[in-house]
Parts: sequence; C-alpha cells; structure tokens
Amino acid sequence: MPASDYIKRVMLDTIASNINEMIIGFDGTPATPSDGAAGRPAVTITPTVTVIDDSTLMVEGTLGTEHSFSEPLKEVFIQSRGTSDFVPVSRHVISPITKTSGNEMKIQLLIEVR
Amino acid sequence: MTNLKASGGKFNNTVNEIMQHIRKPVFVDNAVHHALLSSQSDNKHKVTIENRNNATYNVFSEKRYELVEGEAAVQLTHVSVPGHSSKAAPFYESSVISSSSTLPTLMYSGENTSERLTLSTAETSTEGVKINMKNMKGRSLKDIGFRGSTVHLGDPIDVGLRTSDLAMRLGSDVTSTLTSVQIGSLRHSANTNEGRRKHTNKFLAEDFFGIPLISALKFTSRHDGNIIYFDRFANLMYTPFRFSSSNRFLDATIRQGNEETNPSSHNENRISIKGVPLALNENASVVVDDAERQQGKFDTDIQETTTPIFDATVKTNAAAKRVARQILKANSLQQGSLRSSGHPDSWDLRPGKVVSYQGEKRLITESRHTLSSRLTDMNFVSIQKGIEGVLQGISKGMVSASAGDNPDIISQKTEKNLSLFSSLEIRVIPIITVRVVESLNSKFAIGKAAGRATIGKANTQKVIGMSKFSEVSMRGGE
Repeated sequence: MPASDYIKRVMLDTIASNINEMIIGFDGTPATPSDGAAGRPAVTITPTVTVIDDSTLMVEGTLGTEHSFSEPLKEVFIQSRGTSDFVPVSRHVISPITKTSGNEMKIQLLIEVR
Repeated sequence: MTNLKASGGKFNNTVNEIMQHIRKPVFVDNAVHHALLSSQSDNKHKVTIENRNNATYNVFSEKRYELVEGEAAVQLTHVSVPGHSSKAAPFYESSVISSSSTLPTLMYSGENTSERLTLSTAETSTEGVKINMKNMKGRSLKDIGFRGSTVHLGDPIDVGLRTSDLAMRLGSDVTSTLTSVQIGSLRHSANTNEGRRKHTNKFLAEDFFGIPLISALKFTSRHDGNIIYFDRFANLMYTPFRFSSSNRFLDATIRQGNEETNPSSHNENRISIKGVPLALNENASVVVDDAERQQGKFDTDIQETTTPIFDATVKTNAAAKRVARQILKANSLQQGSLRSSGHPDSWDLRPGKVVSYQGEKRLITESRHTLSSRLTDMNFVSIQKGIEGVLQGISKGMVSASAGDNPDIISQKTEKNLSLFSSLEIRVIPIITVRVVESLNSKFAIGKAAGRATIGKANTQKVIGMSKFSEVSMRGGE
C-alpha cells in the first residue's frame, strides 16, 4: 500500500522548510547517503525553494559571472543551517564545470516525494 | 540503620542508603549494568545507565507461588505455609495480577528453573488469579514436561553483543583477505560526520565457531535489518537496510537495442518461522502474511513454503514475527527483471550498480560491453528502495526443518499475523545549466572599418541581444 498523498505533502513541506543553503564545491568523491557536508566548499549561495506541486519541489540557485574559480566545480550540497546546527539534505556529484567570469551556472534540484 | 519499608504490596522503592561500614569488596562475575539505549535523530544512540525501571523490566522476588492446574489454565495463589494462609492474587508491577494488568513473561518451576511456562491472559478468580495458557489443547502440564507445584515469576533477559560490534569482531579474522570490514561507507571528505557509521541497538548472543563469515553476518542481519554490501574496492560493509550508493541516470529512450520484461514475482508472501521455544507450552513458530501482496489487482495468490524456516535464535513468538517480517519485507521489494540492450556510452556500469531507468531504481545484475560499437546490454532487477538487501537473499543460510517438526497452526486461540509495508521515496534530481555570457570575439561588430562599434556596454560581461553560444544542460545522478 502506498503512503497517503497527505503525508507526502507534509513531508514535502518539511523538506522545503529545511533547505536554506546551497554549497557548490570542488570535491568529486562519489556521493553517499551518509554525506554530511560538501567535501571542499567553494561558494555558498541562498537558493530559491519552490513547491511545484503536491509531490515536487524545486531548489534553484544561480552562480553569476562574479564567481570564477581556478578549479572545476564538481559537487552541489544543500542543507538547512540554523543558528547552532545544520541538517544535511543532499549532496550530488556533477560533471566538472569550469566556472569563469565568462559563464553563468544555474543549479536546479528537483525533489520528488513519491 | 534505616528501616527499609515498602509502600505498597511489593518492595519497589529506590534505595539510596549509603553503607556506613567498610567491608571487603565482593567481585560479582554475573552482574550486568542496565542501560537504556534510545535512538536519536542526530545519529548517535543515547546510552543512559539507570537503575531498575518499571517501564523496561522488573526485578522479581525469589518468592514462589502455588500452581493448581486447570483446563488449559492454572490457578496462581500464594503458597500456604504455617502462619500465611492468604489466597489473594500475586503482585506484579506494583499491582495485583488481574485481567487488565501487565503479565510477566514466564513462570519458572520452583523445583527446576529450566521448566518454564508462558502466560497468555489472566482472569479474576475467587482464589488467586486464573492464568490462561496457549497451546495447551488436550495436554496437561505433565504431558508437556512440567513438573512441580510452585512457580517463580520472571522476565528473561538476554545478554549479548551489539550486532554491529559483533559484525566487526567477526570480520577481524579476515582483514588480510578484504580491504576492510566496516559498518558504514568509506570515509571521504564529504562524510566525516557522525552519521556515516550507525551502530545497531539490537543485542545478540550466539556462538559462531566454525561458521563462515557471510553466513554469520546474514544471521545477525535477520535481527537488526542490516545488509551486507560488498563494494567494488573489496570493502565489506555491514550497513543499515536503507544504505544505497548514489545511482546513475540511464536514459531508456536512447538505445539501439530492444527491451524485454520478465515478470517474476513468485516470491513467498506467507512465511512460517520456527525457532527453539523458550517455554514448554510455547512453540516459537509464527505464520506471517504479507496481506497486501495476497490481495492486489494482480496478486491474489497465497504463496508459501511447505516447510517452515528454522532459526535457532528465535525463542519467542515475538522474535519469530520479527524475523518473518524481515523476510517478507525483502520479498516485497523484489520484483520482475528487465533486459535492455544497445545503450551507448555506458561503459562504467557494472553489475551491482544502481541506475535510474524509466523513473525507477533498478539494480544491474548483468552487463555486457561491446567496446567496438560502444554499446552495452544490461539485465536489471527492479527494486524500489534499499535494494542491495534483496541480493543477499535474506532467507539464505537458514536450515529447513524436517516435515515432522512442522508446527500445528491450529490452536485454541488462533493468532493471525499480518504484515503490511508502506513506502515513501524521496528522489532528488540535479539539473545544471551552464550558459556562456561573454567570450572573446563573441560580440557583434557594427559599422564600417573606421567607426566600427560593438554592441553592449563597455567593460561589462552581460549579454545584450543574441549570443552565439547555446545553453548546456546536464542531468546529474540521483
């Protein structure tokens, strides 16, 4: 029996309220469910969290032309940072992207509860 | 010296008196510290050393009670001795045993404590209390081997090792063969937090002498729900059932070959477990149904094994139910298999890797790479979550009991055990878009040679109008 739509929506709202920080980093080691932080953080941005429908959530962050790094970016990590603690949400390893002042990078994370 | 007096029917006060005189210390070799182990959200179990706690277990007195046998029941009263003729019901947990009170787990024979009986329900009686017992249809206490007329009341306590510690101890002998034996994923810079390793909170005492490591770990895994995961770097991991590696997205529409589905969901949805009973009137066997898989749109069959699965560590019906649930859970996750061929550029996918294929997590069981054409053929097993546990065949390593020992499922009080599973899955899909906004010679030049100008404000990298570069979108692994 699948879980009810109501609890999925509650869960989605809980996840949405638990994301307020997106960290882009240089570490390319494979992501595991036990990851609690970005491996080598490069930049921290505040993402926009949008509930798209009852089971989908979009977390969006943009790195503009003001950011440039000598190393390629390889990981995206999202979390909830409180005043004294933080809750890791997910970490993803992406194909290496060389971020210069000549390009823009948009990171979209779709979170589905189903 | 303070006079220690009980406030109620039994002595359950916490004593904090300090001994005033000094005596030689006494070594107690069979004592255990009682600690409360509670699971917490921050991944560390909290251990509290505490004194006796009514909510967890009870300390029983040495007192015996008189047993009078009835029809599938016994009458329990105080022992009649000179000067004591009370026929009231015994005390348990600060109250008289009654139909609404909690019952102790066991009655031990006063003469031979290895003869034990389990209690089912209690009924009020004019003398003492009437205790009904299970599995006594047409049998007397003598028939099942219980002798004696007095009993102690008690709760059994198991003393053993934490199963995750036990797993590491078991693995310590083969460290030269394997890269490592761990209880969590390998340490790297992103997971140095405490959540990487998760100790279990189940304790088990078992002699594994002469038993292969994997069989021993599968045995412990039936008690704590952990799985054995062997990664491609030869690390053996004993991790929780929810453990999974990050998976890779495999596009089902980009392939040159065909796709075949092989539905094979003929897994048992009724499981019988038999163990070694703790008491004489207990059979430590249970039949658990996965009711959902017996009553679906396509699944209406009851599929069961003819002989029960035997597990020597199962001592009670509750333990039998727990083991049965584990097996049903693994069976409910296992579904049909799928074969898909002609996937380009999938050379990195090997058996054991999880991929997201057609919106579902699938485990690769077989892969064949053709390097000349850069195509790959794959076989998948569909799984919903926690998948690696399916592969290890959770019912493997158990011994089937002979048909003569099959438990009789008809008893006076029939207990129907149903098990239902509900699942919630959270998927996170990253999509990264990179757009070039400025590059050398990417501007448009307008005008004749002498007065040529470029579109766009000077010293800015913002794009105005058209860019001759297009966006690049990438989908990452889930």
